[in-house]
Amino acid sequence: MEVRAQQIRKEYIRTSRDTNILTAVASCDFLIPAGQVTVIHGSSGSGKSTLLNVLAGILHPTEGKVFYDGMDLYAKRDEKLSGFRNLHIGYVPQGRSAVSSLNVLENVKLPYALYEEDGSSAALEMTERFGIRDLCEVMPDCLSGGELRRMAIARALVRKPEVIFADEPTGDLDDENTKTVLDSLRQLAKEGAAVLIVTHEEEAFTYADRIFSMNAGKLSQESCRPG
Amino acid sequence: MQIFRKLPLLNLLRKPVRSVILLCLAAVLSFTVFGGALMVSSLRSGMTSLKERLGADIMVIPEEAAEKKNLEEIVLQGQTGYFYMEDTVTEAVADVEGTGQVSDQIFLASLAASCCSAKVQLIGFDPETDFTVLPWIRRSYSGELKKMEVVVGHDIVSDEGDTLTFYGTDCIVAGKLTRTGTSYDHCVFAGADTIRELTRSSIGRNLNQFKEVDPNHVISCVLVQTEEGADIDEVAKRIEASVSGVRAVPTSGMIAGISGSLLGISHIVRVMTAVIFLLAFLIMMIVFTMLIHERKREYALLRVVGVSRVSLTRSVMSEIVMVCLAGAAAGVLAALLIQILFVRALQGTLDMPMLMPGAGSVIAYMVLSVLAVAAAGILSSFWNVNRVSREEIGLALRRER
Ligand SMILES: Nc1ncnc2c1ncn2[C@@H]1O[C@H](COP(=O)(O)OP(=O)(O)OP(=O)(O)O)[C@@H](O)[C@H]1O
Ligand SMILES: [Mg+2]
Repeated sequence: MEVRAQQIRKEYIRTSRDTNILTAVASCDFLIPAGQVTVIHGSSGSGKSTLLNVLAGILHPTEGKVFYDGMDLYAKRDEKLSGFRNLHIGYVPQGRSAVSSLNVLENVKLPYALYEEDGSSAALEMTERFGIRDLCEVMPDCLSGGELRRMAIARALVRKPEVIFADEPTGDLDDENTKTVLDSLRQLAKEGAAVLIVTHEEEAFTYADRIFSMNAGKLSQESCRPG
Repeated sequence: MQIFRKLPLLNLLRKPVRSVILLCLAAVLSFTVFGGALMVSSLRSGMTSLKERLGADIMVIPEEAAEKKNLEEIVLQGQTGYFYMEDTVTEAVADVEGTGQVSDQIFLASLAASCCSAKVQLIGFDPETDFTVLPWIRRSYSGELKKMEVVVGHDIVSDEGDTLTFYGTDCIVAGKLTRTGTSYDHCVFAGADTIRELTRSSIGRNLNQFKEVDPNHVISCVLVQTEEGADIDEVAKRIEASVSGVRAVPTSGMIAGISGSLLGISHIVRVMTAVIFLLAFLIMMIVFTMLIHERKREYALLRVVGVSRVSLTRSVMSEIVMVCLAGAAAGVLAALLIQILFVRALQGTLDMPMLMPGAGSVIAYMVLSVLAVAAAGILSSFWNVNRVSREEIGLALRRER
């Protein structure tokens, strides 16, 4: 599934020097092709997370539309959109993201649980892959930042979604885990998923098919791997 | 069950401190509602039972008794005074124009302690003419009262078939009365034959001063039911005019008096209940608001994973309803327990007849109180839950990451 943004722009209402409006994402077209890893980097506050959220269907753009294989995402009703997110979109939020009264395994299989599916075996496989198998019964309060992050990634990928958004997915991770995570994303792209990573890590660039940079809300393409 | 459906329960079980606080709040709420309702209705049924006991329109007592004793206590609380007059009064009263049924009673004090620690009051009534005691006795005892048989008030620690000794004379307990919430619960009732026998044995024990009255012809009061359509106050005046040495007291005035103070108390209880309920409701609202806002990011996470607005609202609300129901049930049980344990003490403090309503109404009150608290929980949080579930996920996710 490919994601195509058409003339999207996002403004926040915020009082600053001479205006009340902050343009977090300036008007742009953007494509996340299926089967590729797209990477966006940029300084803090440049609007990366905002763009990612708009693309992921969880933040209405001020203007513009987002199409998933030609389907207008924001035109969908909440019930439908939620089901769609569950089935097709994997989202790794920036920062900690645990449901605090569920243990690690329950957190990871949550996407399955919403629609009465079991998903235990898929969830176990994910915890195994990201090295948190031993922590399955542990509550999130007792986890380190890196462990929480891997749990969030495992949860985002457990349903093998066709579109994946990862906001600083390797922020808290050591080299080995960073590699595991990026390998997994790469692998999913190879299987046909559209992958978008927002990151500061240089390491991620080597996994990227296309690299964009963001600066004060303006997006610009830096490089494109041929083929 | 799938974890998302279990989530409300897990939230409660795995965050015990928070849950206990919420439970306590709900308990306070239901305790107040149920406790208040139970108290008001106990007072009411106490009042009703009192009215039933008091089928008489007018009570005729010796003149000096009216001054000596608080009339209301005698008539309403069933606290018998010990005063006596000749039984000729009964006929004299019956002859007065406007009187219908007329029946006399005699009150005796006894130290008969085989059953009780306190002084027992004996009330003798005339089964031939009685219209106040018998209908009540009929409810718990269907047989005829034979000679030397008595019927005991609810709080007397004797049961059917037991023997009670008064002034050295044995009586058989033929039945036990239902509770009235008044001093009648500590009385022993006997028919005319029996009471004459007992009166005779009591002479010389210096317990009951009959003074110059012949103990074979002594009575304490005459209960009068006026004729249909007669003016009760007029009849009372006429009795006092034509029978010397007596006071005729219309009971309705007293009932009105006690009804008044009952209304007063019920009113206070109601207002207090409302105030506490309102306060607890406000606190509940604040706590739920804080709780919901504190968990905004978590709700946003659930939304990201694919929970729809409707299911999120449902999930959060069911958590709130669960905790309210559980807390409310606990509060209601606590209130019931306290009421059962302390109803006597309360009755003493308020100096009011109190009678717990029947099991059916108690259960109905319990269920209603619990439902009221659940409704309060829903009311106090729905607006916030709805608002949070509508918040844009991308914005809510930014909180405290
Ligand atoms: N709800 C909001 N209201 C007003 N301004 C906001 C809001 N959310 C974000 N902003 C502003 O929008 C800009 C872009 O924010 P965003 O989170 O997209 O940046 P980012 O590139 O992801 O930064 P970082 O690398 O630190 O995560 C920032 O200047 C931020 O202060
Ligand atoms: Mg960001």
